[in-house]
Amino acid sequence: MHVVVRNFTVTMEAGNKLFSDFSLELKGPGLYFIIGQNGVGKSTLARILAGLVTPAVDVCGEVLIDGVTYDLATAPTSSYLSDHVVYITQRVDDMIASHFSVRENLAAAMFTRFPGFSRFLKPTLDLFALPENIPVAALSGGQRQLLAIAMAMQKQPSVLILDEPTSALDPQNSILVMDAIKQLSRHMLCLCISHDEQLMARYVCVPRVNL
Amino acid sequence: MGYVMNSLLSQLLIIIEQGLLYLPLVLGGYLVISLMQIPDLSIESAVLIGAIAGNAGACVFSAAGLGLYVGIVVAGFAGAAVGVGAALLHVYGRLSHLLSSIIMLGFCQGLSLLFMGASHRPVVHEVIKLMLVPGYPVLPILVGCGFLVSLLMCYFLKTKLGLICAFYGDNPRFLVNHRISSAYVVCMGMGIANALAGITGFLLGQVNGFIDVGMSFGTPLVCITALVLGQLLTSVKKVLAVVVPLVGVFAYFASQTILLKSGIDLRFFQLMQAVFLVIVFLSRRSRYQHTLGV
Repeated sequence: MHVVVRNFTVTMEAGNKLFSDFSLELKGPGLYFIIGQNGVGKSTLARILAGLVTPAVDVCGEVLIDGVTYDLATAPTSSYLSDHVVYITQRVDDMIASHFSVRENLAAAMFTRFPGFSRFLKPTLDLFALPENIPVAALSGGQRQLLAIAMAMQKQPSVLILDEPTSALDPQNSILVMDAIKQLSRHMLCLCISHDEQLMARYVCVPRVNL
Repeated sequence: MGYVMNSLLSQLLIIIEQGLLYLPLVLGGYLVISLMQIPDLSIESAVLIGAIAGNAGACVFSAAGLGLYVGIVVAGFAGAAVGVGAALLHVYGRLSHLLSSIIMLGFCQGLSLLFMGASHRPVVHEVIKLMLVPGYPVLPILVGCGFLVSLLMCYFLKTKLGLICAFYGDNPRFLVNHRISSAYVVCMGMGIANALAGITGFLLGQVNGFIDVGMSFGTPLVCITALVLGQLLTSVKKVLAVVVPLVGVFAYFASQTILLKSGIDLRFFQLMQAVFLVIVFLSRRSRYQHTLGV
């Protein structure tokens, strides 16, 4: 798991540059933080790295994931990126269906991956300590975040990018989620976007990328 | 006493027959309106196109004894084509669901007149009559068809595509964030729902003995009323519950029969449905949000 970003330049529609010749190298497995003030482009960087379409911006540069090079301008069309890099948005409710159960959400997340389902369910539920048949609407904020991560894990990604995973959580749930992310980072490259310095103080041993 | 019992039994069989006739349509409406939350008016045109195409197919193959099967399959495909057409207008034309289905409605209405050559045509080959129940020749085929489509809908909602269709209604952003193609899900969902509407169109043509360009008028309202009735009577809290359209469609025709027997003029039935829906939605808005389709 080796991610290299080279000559990353993002020009906004208005003409101002958000990034100019930005380069970055991350080696996994491990947990990295991208920290910075609001509006510096943390989420834009994450979305582009994950190959998601970001409207109203002009992107150039390239990304190397495990030695394979991709042009960031055409990243959204790359099936490799969509299979190997998973992005969990800041608005976690956009990633789950609240009228359905945990089990149904996990089944739906496997839509493009597995013909069978049940044998994969139990280890996931155990790992994230999630109840199986409870409607998602009844889960706490921390459990919803864990569910979104569990759903993202069904793709078995090499890189997991989490955008402000604790921004809407109380301190107790924040620690619950961060502990789960730290556990996952033993096996994959986890990239966490945050501006919560206090929370990161608990995980000071891990590297940070300052924007 | 015997006369009363006979009369009740006769009314019950009529309610069952009417319910089974509209069951595919209401199951389709359940998928597209309740689960996918798409205000799909194209089911109205799918009924008409299904009636024309299905009966044309049945007419060609009735001599070979395959009229019923060919009729149902052709009606299903014709209805699906209407649904997929409306879905493609939404996905690639970037039109709203409502606008795309209204355009499809106008398109199909014109196409129907073109194919039929007149606004009213008799059905030449009646292929769904079986003399198993005296006085109710179409009942056995309707029971078989209703049973089959209900089973297929139960199965479909257990598949991942069925689940994703329901997720689309709950949270359309879910598909984007999980990189599932919204275009594929919308096309499949609307295609299946309209295929079922097309089957109802074929059966309606066969039972009535004619096809009329106005025969499908008001079918979306029938769907919504049946679904609300089903939700009221079953009170199920689960999102995926095929029992809602099943109970709803029979309750709809039972209430229609009760109103008729009470001496109420059925010319105003659509008005009564609309008033009923307004009262239900305004009084218990949050609870029936899913059935609203908006």
